[in-house]
Amino acid sequence: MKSLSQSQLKRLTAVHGWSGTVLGLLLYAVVATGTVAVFAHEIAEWSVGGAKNHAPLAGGLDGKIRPIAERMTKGYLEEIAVWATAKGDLNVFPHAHARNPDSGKIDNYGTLFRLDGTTGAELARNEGFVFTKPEWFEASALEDFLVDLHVQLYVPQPWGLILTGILGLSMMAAGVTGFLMHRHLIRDLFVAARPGHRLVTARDRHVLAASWGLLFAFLLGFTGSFFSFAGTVSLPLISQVAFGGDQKAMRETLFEPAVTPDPRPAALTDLDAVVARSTALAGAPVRFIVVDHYGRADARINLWHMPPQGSLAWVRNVFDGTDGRFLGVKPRVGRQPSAGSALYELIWPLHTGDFAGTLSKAVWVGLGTAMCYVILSGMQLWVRRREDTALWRGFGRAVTTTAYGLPFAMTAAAYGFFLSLPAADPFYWTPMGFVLGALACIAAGVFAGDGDRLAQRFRRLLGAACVVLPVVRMAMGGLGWADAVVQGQGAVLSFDLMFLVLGVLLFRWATRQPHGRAAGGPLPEPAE
Amino acid sequence: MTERLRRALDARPRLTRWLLAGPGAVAAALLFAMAMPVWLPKGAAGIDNIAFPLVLVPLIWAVVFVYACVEESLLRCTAVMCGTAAVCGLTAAMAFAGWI
Repeated sequence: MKSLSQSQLKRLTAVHGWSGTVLGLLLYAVVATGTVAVFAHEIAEWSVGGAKNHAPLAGGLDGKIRPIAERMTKGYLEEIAVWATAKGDLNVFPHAHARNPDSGKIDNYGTLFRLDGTTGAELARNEGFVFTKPEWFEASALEDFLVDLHVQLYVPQPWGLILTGILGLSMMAAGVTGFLMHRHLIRDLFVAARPGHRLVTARDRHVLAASWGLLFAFLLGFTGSFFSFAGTVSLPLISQVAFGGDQKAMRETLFEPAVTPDPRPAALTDLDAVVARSTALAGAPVRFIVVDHYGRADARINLWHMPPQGSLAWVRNVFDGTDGRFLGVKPRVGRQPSAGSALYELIWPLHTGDFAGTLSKAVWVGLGTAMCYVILSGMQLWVRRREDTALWRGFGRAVTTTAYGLPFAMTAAAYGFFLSLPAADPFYWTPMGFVLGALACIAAGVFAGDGDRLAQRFRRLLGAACVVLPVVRMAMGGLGWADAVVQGQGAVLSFDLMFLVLGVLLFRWATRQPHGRAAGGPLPEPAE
Repeated sequence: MTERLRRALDARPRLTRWLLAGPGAVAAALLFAMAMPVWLPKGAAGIDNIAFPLVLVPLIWAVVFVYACVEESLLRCTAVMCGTAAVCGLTAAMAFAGWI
């Protein structure tokens, strides 16, 4: 690669540094919450005390869904969606599409039945624009909050998505500019940081972590900004050109299978037989089912399966609803396999790490944690080079406060969830717990010492919060460890143990002596 | 005229660079993506010309952004980005109007 001139390097350094500084705290929030959200499903299971039924979609569905469908008004049989909650209950949602007066958009409108995943007994029923009410279809307010915090930083649509999209672009820009600035990338992958606590040591660590995580950072920034902008910006603009603005033609070409309408009455085939056959064909469990046009000759059964072994993408099988004929695999985009669809299908698994079970998710969590370190260490480097200015010293306190405050606030959200379970609304108190935790950390950041003393106090605070959390969970009626072992609720045990270990490690870290450098003092050596 | 434009751009280099790398890069990337369905092959399923630009928009932006940061000559950068945006915008407009 042609080496860059001084002026080019100077510009790239400015872009890398300033974009990281101006957007770094928000970017850290997105990456840290995303790291947690990788295990969102497992967090949901842990928070609700485990799933009563780990595979409610595996069988016995026909006897649970058919009675509901048979007594539904025909208007709600346009689609019947079926999926499992974190508790192992079944959500059965016969619905149509109608314009939501609040948003002005076309939304799913129907009756949502929550059934016991094993017996099929009706646990709850709600009617309306169901997906605007997470308390109707989500088992865990904690999971719902943490995912929403990552996707749009809890900012209302569409601004939250645009904000996280911009942060995704900035992560890509930081990665590319960092790569171009770095003269010896391959060599420095294998060179340890210089020892000590000097500025060069901090720079070496930042560069080492960033070099190893470069590809991951670019990939996550790219896929994340795709998710943010695809629906809000890119697809509307591109479809204007490709389909002359015809949204119906766009949906039918890109996303809907070809079906010749046939409203003649016809009974739906045995759903359990279809599920069994689809699972055998896909080689992976089913996670989501949609029955189109129940009770008609043009009925279709769509089943979404997790990625089979050796594959990254989810599989969608389509069956004829009247005779159970397998009609083929429907690609994510288009009506037959193509390079474009293959590319589109890679985006979700590459962003979430959800393609090889716990192992791939664990790798993504590790890389996400490394990214958090890269972002925070980059901002700390910036501050250390400018510590003679009060403004940047203040920013340094903000970095420390945010670095520990965000995980503490997320833990406080969990406290809000558990403490509200017996008698209050967890969908209100979970985000409120986050806000209260964040305010407490901001107050600590303002008043409780500075530099290393502040960091130590935060570590103790976070450590205590982690250690006490499993106790609070069980005290509020959550599943005990003995019962968790008997019932095979691995998620409950794993997360409790993880919090205990994290808490102990944080306490040990907090008791380590800080290095001798006084916070706020100017450094005697040059930056490079 | 070229010389006058160069002097005008070089008189405010930081502002010019900000405009090119900021709103300029966003506009150029979106216009490029909007024009891609016209010239990309449709592929086996007839949708590759839509799926590829849809997925690649952030990558296109990254390329344009980095170019706007790295290009030494502001005149050349302005010419390349404006020229690309103009050609792509015209292509997209003609496709939307049904002329191509």
